Amino acid sequence: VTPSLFYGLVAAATFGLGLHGVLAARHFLRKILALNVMGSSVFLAFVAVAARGPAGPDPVPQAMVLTGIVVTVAVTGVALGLARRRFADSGETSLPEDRGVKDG
Amino acid sequence: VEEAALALSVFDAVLGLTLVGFAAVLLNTGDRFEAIVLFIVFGLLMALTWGRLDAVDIAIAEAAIGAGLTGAMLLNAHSHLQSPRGGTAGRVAEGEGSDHRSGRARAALIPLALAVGAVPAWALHTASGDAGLREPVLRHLAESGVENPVTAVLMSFRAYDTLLEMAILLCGATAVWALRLPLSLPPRTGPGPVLQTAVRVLVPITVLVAGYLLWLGAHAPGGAFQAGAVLAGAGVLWLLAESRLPRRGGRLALRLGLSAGVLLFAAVGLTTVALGEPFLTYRGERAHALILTIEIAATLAIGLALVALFSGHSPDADRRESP
Repeated sequence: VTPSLFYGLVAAATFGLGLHGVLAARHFLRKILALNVMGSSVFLAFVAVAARGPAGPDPVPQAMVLTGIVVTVAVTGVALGLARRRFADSGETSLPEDRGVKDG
Repeated sequence: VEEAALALSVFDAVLGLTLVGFAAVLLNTGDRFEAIVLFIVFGLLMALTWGRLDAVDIAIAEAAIGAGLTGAMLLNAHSHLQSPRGGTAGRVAEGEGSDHRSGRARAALIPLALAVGAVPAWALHTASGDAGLREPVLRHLAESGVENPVTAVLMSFRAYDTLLEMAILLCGATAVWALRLPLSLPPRTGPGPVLQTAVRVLVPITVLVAGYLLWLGAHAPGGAFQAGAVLAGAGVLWLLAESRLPRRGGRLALRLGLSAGVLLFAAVGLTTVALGEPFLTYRGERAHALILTIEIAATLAIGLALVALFSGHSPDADRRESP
């Protein structure tokens, strides 16, 4: 097993955990945290693949991950803002759909 | 491929299993605050992993953005989602007892997560040993005007990505401003002399580090993203200590700074079109100066946008809400 494959498998496991977290969570913060874990696992898969060659790392996936990290923080910021807006308006920290409440 | 540098070590095994363990615990712990703190540690472990995988550029960005700023944003939001304020807050809606779905629903999701996680695992296992785009990038590195291949890809070969990323950050900051969140800065009397003094010492040093990272990016790991993230760290610290929004005169400057990255980047792109080259194509002698100019504007814009995302308020907020 090469480090590239090993960290790729770590990325796959973390991705599965993150996906489970997004689906299983009700609270906004939990969902956003899980989304960030999923994002990190995708970046890990990219960088693991970039580290495959014997000569050195492939800079293109690395640059894409750098872009991805900045985009992720922007998405997280907007998601947290929406959660705060929702809480200020209704006092709720989750969506009615996730609580199994109909006609929320 | 079986070189010493690429052999799997005990270090890898421990680090990889720790990553998976932290992810599992932070997603399932009972306490939200604990989950956020574990996420910050998870981010630092990721930074360590990037270092291990020869991705030092990403390691710096992850430590500053992934662990640092995202953690600060999460903790900030955590405090706001907790303290009930106003009449409607504090009402507990029907069935909202737990942060998670019921135990049975969560168990039912496990096979789905396993199945989806198995896809990338299988894909990576069967992937060819293709060396990727390393060779072409290194072959054309001299044309880009910088020596760090990652910076060359970001600022030259795939400059489109970076231009659009600047646009996304601007959209994110604008979206958060448009949400008109209730004012939440701590009271003016909040920070004590320790924080004030620490800020006075730390902010100039942080700005200096940001400038150094920006300059370094041309030939070593570093660049606009990392510098912008470090700058944002200084901005957040300043915001916490000063606890006031920019004055009227600073508002236009703030908006200009926020859009500086997109505006300058697009202007350079259009200039290259006017000079008869394709959009955003610059090579040779003037490339280095152009990239540095764009990166200075991008650093400023990234730093300001991250602070705006952290605070969640437009600079007009105090004018709106003041009685």
